Amino acid sequence: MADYIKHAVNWLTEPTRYFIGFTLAIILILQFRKFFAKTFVIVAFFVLGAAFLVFAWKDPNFAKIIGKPDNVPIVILLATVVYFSWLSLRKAVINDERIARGEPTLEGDFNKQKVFTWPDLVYTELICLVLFTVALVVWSIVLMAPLEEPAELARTPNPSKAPWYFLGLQELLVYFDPWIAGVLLPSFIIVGLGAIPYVDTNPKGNGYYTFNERKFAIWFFWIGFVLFWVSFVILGTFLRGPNWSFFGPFEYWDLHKLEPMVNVDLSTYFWVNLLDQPRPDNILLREAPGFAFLGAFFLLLPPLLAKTVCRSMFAQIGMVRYQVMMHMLLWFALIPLKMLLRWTVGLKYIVGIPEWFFNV
Amino acid sequence: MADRGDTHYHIKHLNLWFAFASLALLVTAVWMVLDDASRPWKNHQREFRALDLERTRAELETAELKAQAAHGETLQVEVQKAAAAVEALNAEIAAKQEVVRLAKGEYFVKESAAKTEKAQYDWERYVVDEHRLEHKDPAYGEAHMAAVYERMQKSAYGKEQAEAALAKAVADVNALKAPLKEAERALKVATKDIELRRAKIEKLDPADRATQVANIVRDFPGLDFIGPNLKVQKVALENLTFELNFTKKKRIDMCQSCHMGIDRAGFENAEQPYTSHPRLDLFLTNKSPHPISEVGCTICHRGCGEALDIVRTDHRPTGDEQTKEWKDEYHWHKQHHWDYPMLPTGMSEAGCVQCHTDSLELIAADAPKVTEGYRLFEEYGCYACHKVEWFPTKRKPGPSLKNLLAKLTPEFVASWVADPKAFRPTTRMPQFFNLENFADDAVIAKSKYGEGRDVLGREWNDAAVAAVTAFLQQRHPLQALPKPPAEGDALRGREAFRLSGCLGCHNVAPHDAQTFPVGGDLAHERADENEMGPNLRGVATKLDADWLYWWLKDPAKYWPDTRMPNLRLSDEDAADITAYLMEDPDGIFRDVPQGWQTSIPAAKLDVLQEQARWFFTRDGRTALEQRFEGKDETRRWDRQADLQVAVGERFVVQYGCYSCHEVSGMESMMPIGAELTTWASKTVDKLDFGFIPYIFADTHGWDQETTSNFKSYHNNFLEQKLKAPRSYDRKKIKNPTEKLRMPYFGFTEEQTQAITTFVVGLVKDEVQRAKMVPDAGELARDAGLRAVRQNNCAACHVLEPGLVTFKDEAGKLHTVGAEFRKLEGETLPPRMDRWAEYWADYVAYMKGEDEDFDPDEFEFSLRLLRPEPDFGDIGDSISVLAKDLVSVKPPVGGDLVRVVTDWYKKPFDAEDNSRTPDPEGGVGDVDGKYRKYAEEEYDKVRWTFAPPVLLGEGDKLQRNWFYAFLNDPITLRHQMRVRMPSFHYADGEAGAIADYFAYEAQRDWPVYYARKLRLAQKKSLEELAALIKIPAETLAGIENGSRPDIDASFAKVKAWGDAQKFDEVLPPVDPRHERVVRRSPAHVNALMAADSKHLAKAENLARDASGPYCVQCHYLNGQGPAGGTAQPIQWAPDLNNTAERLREDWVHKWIENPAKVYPGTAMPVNFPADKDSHQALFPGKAAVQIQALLDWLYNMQRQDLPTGM
Repeated sequence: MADYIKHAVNWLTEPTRYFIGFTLAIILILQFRKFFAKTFVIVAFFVLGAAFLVFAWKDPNFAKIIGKPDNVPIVILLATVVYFSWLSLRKAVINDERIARGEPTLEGDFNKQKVFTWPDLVYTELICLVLFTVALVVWSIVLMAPLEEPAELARTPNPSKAPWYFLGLQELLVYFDPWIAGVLLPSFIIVGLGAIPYVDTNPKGNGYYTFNERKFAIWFFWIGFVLFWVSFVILGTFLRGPNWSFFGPFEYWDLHKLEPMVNVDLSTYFWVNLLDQPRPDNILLREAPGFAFLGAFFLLLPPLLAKTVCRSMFAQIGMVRYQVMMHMLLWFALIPLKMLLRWTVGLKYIVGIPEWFFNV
Repeated sequence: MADRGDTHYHIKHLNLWFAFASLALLVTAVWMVLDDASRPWKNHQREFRALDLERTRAELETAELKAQAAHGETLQVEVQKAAAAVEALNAEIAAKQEVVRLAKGEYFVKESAAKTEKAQYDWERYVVDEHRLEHKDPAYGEAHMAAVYERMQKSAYGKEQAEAALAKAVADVNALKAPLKEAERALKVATKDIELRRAKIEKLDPADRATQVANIVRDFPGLDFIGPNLKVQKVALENLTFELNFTKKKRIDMCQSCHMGIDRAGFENAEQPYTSHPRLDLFLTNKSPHPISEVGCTICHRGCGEALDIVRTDHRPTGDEQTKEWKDEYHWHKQHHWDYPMLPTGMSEAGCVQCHTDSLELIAADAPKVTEGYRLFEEYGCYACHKVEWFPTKRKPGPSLKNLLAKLTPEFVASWVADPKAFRPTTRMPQFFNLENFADDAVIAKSKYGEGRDVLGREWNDAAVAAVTAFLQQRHPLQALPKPPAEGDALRGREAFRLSGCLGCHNVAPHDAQTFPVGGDLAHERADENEMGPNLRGVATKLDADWLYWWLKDPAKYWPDTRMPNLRLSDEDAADITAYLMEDPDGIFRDVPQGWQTSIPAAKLDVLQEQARWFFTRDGRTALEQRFEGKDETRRWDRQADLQVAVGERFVVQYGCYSCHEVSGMESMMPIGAELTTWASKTVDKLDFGFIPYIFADTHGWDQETTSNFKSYHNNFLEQKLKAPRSYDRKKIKNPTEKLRMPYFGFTEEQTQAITTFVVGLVKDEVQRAKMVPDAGELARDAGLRAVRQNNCAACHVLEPGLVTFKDEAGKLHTVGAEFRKLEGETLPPRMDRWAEYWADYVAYMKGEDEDFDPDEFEFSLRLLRPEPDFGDIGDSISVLAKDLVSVKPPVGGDLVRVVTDWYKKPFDAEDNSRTPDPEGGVGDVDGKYRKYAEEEYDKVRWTFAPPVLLGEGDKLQRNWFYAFLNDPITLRHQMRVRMPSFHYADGEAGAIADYFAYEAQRDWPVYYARKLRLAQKKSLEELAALIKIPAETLAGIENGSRPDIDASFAKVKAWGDAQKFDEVLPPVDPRHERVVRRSPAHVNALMAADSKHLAKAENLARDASGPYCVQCHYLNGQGPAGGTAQPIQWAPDLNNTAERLREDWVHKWIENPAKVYPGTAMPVNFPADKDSHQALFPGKAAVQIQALLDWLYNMQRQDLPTGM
C-alpha cells in the first residue's frame, strides 16, 4: 500500500504532470473559490498534509530532502503561502458576497476607525520582533548550518542550485537559453512590475480583498506568482537532483540517472518532417518558419486580440497601455508555450541559430 | 500600562503577550549560552585538564621524582642554614642597602637627564637638517649643534657614572647575600623537574583563591568570550593548501581542540580523544620529522580539520560495532558534503604517498602497509595498465611474446590464457577469461543483427581463447633456436641447480602447500625472495628443452627486460640443469595441478562471427556480411583460421595484453586502464559501484544509510574491485564490448588492503612545498633500496642481522643483533625465521632422548653481530635461557645460504639418491672433483661456499670498484659454485646499489661509533649519558639509530669521545670523496725514502711460509694458494685486487681481528697485538707490521715504484 502511494506521488510529481496538475488545481480553486474558502478546507489541508508528512517521513529519501537544514525554510514557505493564499481568497469571497448584498466590505468597516501608533502598531511590532528572535535563536540551536567542502573551480557541487528564491529562474534554463532565461525574462519581470501602476487604472480593490471586481488581475497574480514562482521554487528545491535530473520525493538521488532526451528544432519539423527535404544551408531561410512564428506571435496577435477577445479592455485602457501590457503578457505566455512544446513534441528551439548563439 | 479603553488592541492582552515573548526570549537566550558552553570540544578540554592534572600529580609520586624531592629537602636545609648566616649580617646589609637606595635615586635623576638631552639632540638635529635642505644652506647651525651634542655627551657620561655606582652598591649587597643565593640556585636546579610539574599543577588547579575565582569567571558560560581557558586549538599550515576558487587557502586543523594529548607522551593508555599519537617519534613532536605545526593532522588522516565535533569532522568508525555505538552516542552519519572523508584507521599510511613519491623506499620500515601496496602495485604490473605519472618504471612486467613458439606449444598458450592459475596457483599473471561477467551459461550476446544467434558465455570464452592463441601464433612465427652444444646429465644438473643459485629466486613448492616442517627441503618452502621468479613446479610440461637451455645461458636474449640475471653458467652446467628440469628425476617438474591439461578449446565459426560483429561494428554490417560470405578476398572470414586471427587481435587489444607483454606491432599502443595518478581525488560519485551496494545490502541486511555510506568511500570501491574485478557488472545490462575488463589476480585480503592503501594515497598534489626533498644520501638510498629489491640481492645475501629479544633477571627487555649458534647434536644452527617450530621440535627430540631435559633451563648461545654495549662486541657469544627469549626476528635476506650449506652439510644417505651424483656422497667442487663436507665446521662451509653477508658492505668496498663489479662481476672466491650473476640493470641501478651501500655505511656510522664507545668505556647507558651530559634516552636513541637523536646530539658524543682520545673506530665512509691514501705517490715515496726495502719486506710477510703466510689460502695474481696445493675449502680471494676493491680502513680492521668483522670466518688473527711475532721477517710491533702489509697490498701492482720493489 505504502509503496503504491509513493509510486503514485513520484509519478504525479514528474515535471509535466506536476506543472499541469498545479495549473489545474489553481483553476479549480479559483473557479470553486466559494467552496475552497471554507475554514474546514484549510484545516483539512493541514491535517492531511501533516498526516502525509508523518507517513512520508519514514521514507529515508523523503526525510533526507525535506529534512535537510537548507530546505526547512522552503517547507515553512509552502505552509505560509498556502495559508495566506487561502486567507486572501476567503476574505475576497466574503467581501464579494457583502458587496453583492450592498453591505460594506470587511476592511471598509474597519477602515473608518483610526488606531494609535502606540500601542496598536509599535507594541505589536515589538512583540512580533521578540517572538521572531526567539524563533531564529531556537532554529539556529536546533539546526546546524551545513558545513560544505571548500569551493573549487574545477569541482562544483552537483546539483548546483541557485538560492531558493531564484530557483524559478533556474528552472527556466531547462527551456530557454541563458540570455533569455537569465537576462531578458528577469528584466521583463522588473519592467512589468514597474509598469503595473501605469497600466492598471482600475481603482477597485484598493484597501480591501475582492475577487469579482479584479478577476483578471487576481488570475494573473495566481498564475504568475503561485504557479510560475512558488511552484518552481518547490520543484527546484525538492524535485531537482544531481545533474538537474528530476527525482520524485520518494526517489533515491541517483547520480547516474539518465533521461532520454532527443529534442528537435522547429526548422527540422518544418523542412524535414513536413516538407520531407533537407534543411536549407542558408541560415535565415532555414530559420524562416521560426521567425514567421515569432513575428506572428508578437506582431499579429496583439491587434487580433484587440479586435476580438480583448475588445472591451482595449477600449478601456487605450492603445499604448494595451500594447505595453500585451507584449509583457506575450513574453510571459512564451514560457508555458515553450514548456508545453518541449513536453509534447520535443521542441528544442523555435529559432535555433547556434552559429550565432541566437536561440529562442 | 493601564487599559485606556480607546485602543484597538486590549492592552492587558498585549502585556500578557509581551510577558510571554520576553520570557521565551530569556529562556532561549539561556539555552543558547548553555548550548554553547556544552559543546563537545569544551567538555573534552575540561576532561583533559582533569586527566592532565591527575597524571602530573601521579608523576610527582614516581620514585625518580620522590628521590629528587628528598634531595631537595636536604638542600632546603642548606638554604635555611645560609639564610641564618645572612641574617647575622643584617645590620651590615641594611647599611649597604641604604647606599643602594641612594644610588638608585641618583641614577634615576641622571638617567632622566640623559634621556631628555638625547631627545633634545635628536629633535635639534632634525630641525637643522630640515633647514639646511630647505634653504640650501649646508653650513647652517654648526656651532649650535656642536654645543647641543656636547651637552648630550656630558649627561650621558653622568648617567654612566651613576650606573657604575649603583652596580657597585648592588654588588656589595649581593656579595653579602651570596651564600643564600647559591644555596637557592642549587635547590632550584636539583628540583627542576618537580618544580615544572608543580607549576603545571598550579596552573591547572591553582591554590590561590583569587585565581580560582578568575578561572571560574573566565570559563563561565556566557562570559567565556573574553579570555577563556577553554579555547579552540588550531594550526594553520602554510605549506599545505586547499584550492579555493582562484586562490590557495591555508589548511587549518582544529583537531587538537579535542585530541589534546595527541602530541604529548604519557597518554598512550588514555581513552580517545585524549590518546597520545602512537608514533610520537615520527609525528607531531617538534623533534620528529613531521611536527604538528608543519603538517597538522588532516593531510594524512583526511577529514574536515575545521570542524569541531566527531560527526562534522567526518570521522570514520571502524567496523559495524563502532558504527552502531557512534550512531547511538553521537548521531554519527557520513558528511556527504565533505569530499575527503577520514581514512579508515588501518589505512592512514595512504597519507604518506603524496609527500613521499620520491622516497617511498626510505619509509618502508615506518609505513609497511602502503609500501607493501606500492611494491605489489609494481610486482603485479598494475602500473602497466593504469598510468601513475611518477611511477618509477615503465618496464613491461610480463615476458616478451615475440618468440613465444620457441618456448611454448600453442596448446599450452591456450590453456594458460584461459586460466593461468590452474597451471601455477602462485603466478602473478591474472585471469582474463571465464570470469563472472562472461559466465558459462549466461547469454553474452544477443544476436546483433538477427543474422547470428545468441552466444553463451562458454562458447564466447572458448572462441576468445582460441582466437587469442591463433593471433599470437600468427603474429609471432617461430624463430627456431640452435641445438644446445652439450648433452646434459640430470644428476649433475640437480647439484648445479642447488648450487648455482636458482633457488634464490625460484622455489618448487607444491601447488597447494604453504609451509613445511622444519628440516624439510628448503626448495619446497615459499619465502618472499624465492618467489621473485615463478614457482618451477610443472615447468617440464610447459617449456621447450632447447629454449630452456638458451634461456639459462642468456635470459635477456629472449626477453631484454627480464629480471632473470645471467648466471654465466658453463655450457655443461646449463645443459645439466636443463636435463635435470626436463628429465625430472625428482618428480617435481612434471608435477602439475590435478586435472590440468593443455588443449586449445574448440571455437565455433558462428560464435567467432558474432564476436566479429561486435568488434568490427565500425566497418559496417554490409562489409562484415560480405566477409563472412567469402566475398572479400582480403578478409576471407568464412574461413575459421583467418577469422580467428582477426578476432584474436581484437581480444588482445580489448584486454590490453600488450600493456604487460611485448607483442609485435603493438609496441606503441596506449595502456587500457584508467589513469590512477590522482585517482583518490576523484569524487566518489564518479565511481560506478553498479549494483554491488544493493546486492550487499540484501546479503548483509544493510539499511539504506549503510548502503549509501558504502558508496561514500574510495577504499570500498577498490577493495571490491580487487577482490572481484568484474562484480560491478553484476545484474547490469551490458553488451559484450562494454563489459568490465579488469582481470582477476586472486589477491589475499592483506594484499588487497595494501594495494588499496597505496591507491587511496594517490591524490592530487596539494603538498608541493611540504613534500619530502631527499638529500643526496637519501636519494641514493631510496634508489638503492629499490634496485636491491628489484634485483633480489636479499635472495643470496644477508643485508641486516637478525634480532633477538630477551629479558634479563629484572625483566627488562634487551634486543641484540645476533645469530644462534648450533645446538648440541645438530649439524646446522637453528633457523631464526622458524625458530619457534625449530625449538618445539628440538624440545620434543631432547625429551625423547632424556626425560629430565628441562627446556626452561636450556641455554642458547648467541653470537653478536653488532657491538652491543651491554653485552659485548661483534663475534662475542652470550648465553640466554630459553625461557627468557621473547622474540626472534630473522635476518633480512640470505635464504640461499641455507640452501647451499644444507647441500654441503647434510650427511650422505646411500638410500636417498636425491642428493649428489657422486656415489660416495661428495659435493662437486669447481675443479670437477667430489669432496665430502658433512664433517666440516658449519662456519667454515658457510663462509667458504655460500654467498657472502653484506653487513657493512659500504664500509668495506670502494664504491667505484663495487659499481664496476656489479656491471661486470669477476670471480672473487674461486671455490664457490654459486656465482654473482650478471644482472640486466635498468638505468642507474648498478650505481644506485653501490651508492646505497656507501651511504648506508655513512649513515650507520654514528650508531656504530656510539656503541663502540660505550663498549670501550664499559659504562652503563645512564653513566655514560651523564658523563656526556645528554639524556639517557637520547643516547639510547643514538645507539638505536634514531635520526632526530643523532642529528641533535651525536656531535656531543663524538666530541666527548675525542676528548677521551677514543680512536678504536675509524672515520666514516664519505661516498663523495673516495681515495686511497696509501696509493698516493707522496706516501709511497716517503716510505721508500725511509727504507727502500720496505715493500719487499712487507711482501715477505705475506709470502714467506714462516710468517703469516697469507698466500697459504689467498690467491695471488691468479696463482692458486699454497702453490696450488690447497683444497678448495681453504681458498681465499686474490690479494691482487685489494688495492682497487677494499677500503684501507676496513682492511686494517679486518687484518687486525677478522672475527670482529665476520664472526666465524676462517681467517685467523695473524698479528696479535700482545705478541711480537714475525720479527725475523719484519721487525716491529703488530700495528707497524699491519701497516707495512697494507702498504704492500695497495701497491703491489704498481709499475712506477722506485727501485727496491
